[in-house]
Amino acid sequence: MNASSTPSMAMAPVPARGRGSARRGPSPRTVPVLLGLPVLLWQLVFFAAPLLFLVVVTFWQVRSFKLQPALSLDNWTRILGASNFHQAALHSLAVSATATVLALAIAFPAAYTIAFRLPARWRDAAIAALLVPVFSSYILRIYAWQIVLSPEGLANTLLGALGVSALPLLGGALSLQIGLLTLSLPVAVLILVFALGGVDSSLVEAAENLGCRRLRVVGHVLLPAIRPALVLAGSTTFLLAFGDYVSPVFMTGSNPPTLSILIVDTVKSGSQWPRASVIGVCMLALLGLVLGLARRLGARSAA
Amino acid sequence: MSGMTGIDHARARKISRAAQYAWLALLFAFIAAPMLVIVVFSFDANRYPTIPWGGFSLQWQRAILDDEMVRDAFVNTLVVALGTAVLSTVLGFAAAYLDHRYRYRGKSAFAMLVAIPPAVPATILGMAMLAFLSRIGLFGRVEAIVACHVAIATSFSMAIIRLRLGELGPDMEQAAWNMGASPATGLVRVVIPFCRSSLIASFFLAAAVSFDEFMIAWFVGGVHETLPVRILNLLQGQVSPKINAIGTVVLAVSVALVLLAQRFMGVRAGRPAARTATE
Amino acid sequence: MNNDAYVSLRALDKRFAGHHAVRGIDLDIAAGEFVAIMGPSGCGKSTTLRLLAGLDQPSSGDILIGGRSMRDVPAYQRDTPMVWQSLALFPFLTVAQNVEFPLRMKGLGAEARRKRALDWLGRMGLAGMGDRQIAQLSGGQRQRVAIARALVTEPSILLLDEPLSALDAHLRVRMQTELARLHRELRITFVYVTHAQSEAFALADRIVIMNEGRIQQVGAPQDVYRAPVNPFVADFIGTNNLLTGTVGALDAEGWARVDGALGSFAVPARRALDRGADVSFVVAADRVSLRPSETEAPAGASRLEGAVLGLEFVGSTQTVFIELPGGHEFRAQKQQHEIESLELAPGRRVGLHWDPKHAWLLPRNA
Repeated sequence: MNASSTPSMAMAPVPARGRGSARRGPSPRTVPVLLGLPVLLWQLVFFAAPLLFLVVVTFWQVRSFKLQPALSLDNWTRILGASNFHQAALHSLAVSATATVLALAIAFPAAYTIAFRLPARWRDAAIAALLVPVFSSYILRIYAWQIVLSPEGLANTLLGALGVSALPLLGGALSLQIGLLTLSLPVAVLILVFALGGVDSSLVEAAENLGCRRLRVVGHVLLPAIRPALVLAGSTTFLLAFGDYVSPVFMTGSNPPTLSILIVDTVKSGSQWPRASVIGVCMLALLGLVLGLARRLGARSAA
Repeated sequence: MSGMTGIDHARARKISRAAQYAWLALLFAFIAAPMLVIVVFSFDANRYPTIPWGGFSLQWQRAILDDEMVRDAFVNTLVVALGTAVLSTVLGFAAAYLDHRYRYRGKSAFAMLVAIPPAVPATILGMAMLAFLSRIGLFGRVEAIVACHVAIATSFSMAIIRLRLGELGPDMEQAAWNMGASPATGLVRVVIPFCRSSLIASFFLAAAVSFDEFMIAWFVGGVHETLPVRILNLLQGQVSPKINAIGTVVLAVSVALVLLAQRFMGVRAGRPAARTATE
Repeated sequence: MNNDAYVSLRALDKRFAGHHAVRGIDLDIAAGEFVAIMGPSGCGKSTTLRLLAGLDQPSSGDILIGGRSMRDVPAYQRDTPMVWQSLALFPFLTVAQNVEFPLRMKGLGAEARRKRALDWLGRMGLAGMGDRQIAQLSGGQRQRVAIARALVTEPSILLLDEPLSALDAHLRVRMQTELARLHRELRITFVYVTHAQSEAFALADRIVIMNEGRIQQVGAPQDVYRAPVNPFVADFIGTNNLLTGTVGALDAEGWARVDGALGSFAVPARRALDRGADVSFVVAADRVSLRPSETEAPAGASRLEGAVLGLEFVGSTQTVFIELPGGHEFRAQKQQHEIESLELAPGRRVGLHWDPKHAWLLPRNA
């Protein structure tokens, strides 16, 4: 049995030998059913059903603040025709794409350093350090950036001490990207570190042996070798950025709004669930499209 | 390259190496600085964080201890995190074991059902869960938050435990049967003890996931705020120094949970997690 | 069908998807017998053992142990403990706890369990190691724990699945002696799967040779070695030289002359033969004598000449590989001192001969 670092569904399980045809005695099915049913039901009820319900709700209507079942395309036409929806969608896509490019550009050199330059103990410490922000404190760090970047904040105070006049750091694309990168960089770096760690070191040595200079080794050997990981890191960054609510709200004051902000606003004002659901479904569709394209990109790796 | 001498080459190597380390340091500074800001300024006597510092003070820590909403939120958060940790570890183990041991129709669909929730944007998931749960009357209860968090955290639990099960090999379970253990007994006496460390890791990680989650909790929890939701609501008001103090507590707990989880996972880059050899 | 047999395989058949692993085999094993099942990879020997243990269910056919059909008996109720190739010791239990495990499954009380376990650890030479972790033990010690764990319930049958293949050479020989001693003392049935001929020959009362899911031959080691029933067995045993040809002549004293690519040889005709029939016969490698090529073979001996291909040295035995005209290969196995004077080296021409009565005609060609 090989224990690779990322479990994949493609990993063939231990064959369930012994379930041949002439089986009698205590039912062999009790254990798996007993194990599987609770999980299945749980995921169906608390994950699949809500999402399906979301799609259903897109056809419903709100009359006098109450949600009524219906079969109406009204919500769809309204949202799809609304200019603020178009703008929010474009803004979300653009912002996420930018974040993806930035994240990969920043993460790769860092991951390279961790995977190849750090001694083993430091490398493990770096990974442990990176894992922490993935699972904790995102909203707090955004708040902290708010403090730092605000007009009277720390950054401007420091700049003031150096004689530079206050810069409008908060409220623009810069702060937004800082927020999104806060969210996505740790994961992106980790994915690339694991991928680079899995690259056969003899590949690199062979390339250098054949006269490849360091930078070209990177370009011609490493990047192609970890192409699936690059796609994964990019997809994850895009996913996180696209769906994020906190950064656009606190870094740019919801100006311009993203799709997530649109959803929350639509819900808060008049409980327009069906319309919010439409936005949600559209978001999922857009995500699916982008991630599907990314997968196609990754799958076309050279044989 | 023909133009470079050996000395230039070595120098270029040194510079590039220094640059690499500097880049890495910048990255970690980027990640760590915000956390430091929060912790440091939670002890600042000044209301608004500025430089120079206003002097050391514990007033904000005392303030949050006196704040009933914060205390309630903290209790809620603990309850939710605990419930999530236990349930998601149990469900995650079940899903991981099924995946490890059996082949069956719809196996990948089932695995996807468990694995996908963290990939769905929390805003959408929160809204969907709220709409659905209120339709079936479960809205606004702490249990609802637990239920939704479990649906997400199970994905991480399953992944961690599945990794460890991959090291089990087919022989050990069959040896247990061979030695007289029924499949159910073998599960309890052999498989679960073997997975002990990953079960503990899953517990802590699921707790961390729940502890940090604010979007779904905000949608689904209603009046019952968890601490992250309290923070979110506070943030949408004015800047309050209490946030720093709350933030410090939350950071401390979160970081502790993740570090604990890692300790039981044995994460290594590029090398498989330490095997316990049986021969 | 031998009804006194302790273990009986009756038309035992097992199919996996796309692979017919065991094709309706029959076998009787007596109580207290040491049976070794041998064969090349994929021959079905491990599958047969697993079927015995109940880890797989037969597609058809039955297994009887102690006269009782195992058809409705699941693995954990069979009392057929196995020593695994990977040992399958539980890393989260101490040595003593590992050995206690089967007793715990049987419901024995804690004190009684511990006593029995420590008792067996002592018998396996592991006294005082009860509280150690598995990881702290050497390979040979772990092997003994695995054996102790299998024997602690004092079963009537012990299954062993290539138990020594993971050990290094000198440890293997030591454990082999251990197993032989255990079998003598306990007098229980051992069913031992291996691909190593030396182990099977050293330990077993009877050998079962399998190929492609079928039993090729069952018999005492010497019988199988001297009297293989078909070319597969002859070749598998490895120290046989196989020659083929057609029957050229038969005489009244029971000799046949077999004409083949390498020449004509006299072979005792053990069965009714037709002239012109295709036959195979074997000459055991240790029955082949070597002489300098210039010298004459003894009168009446079957003889050949060839060039030495290579030499293999195992202990005090030399196996000499000789290339014959037409690319055929012959093996002679001699004690070192017997052939020292020949100064054999690759390329050197050498003569070989054997007493015709040592040629063994195979009963059939398939």
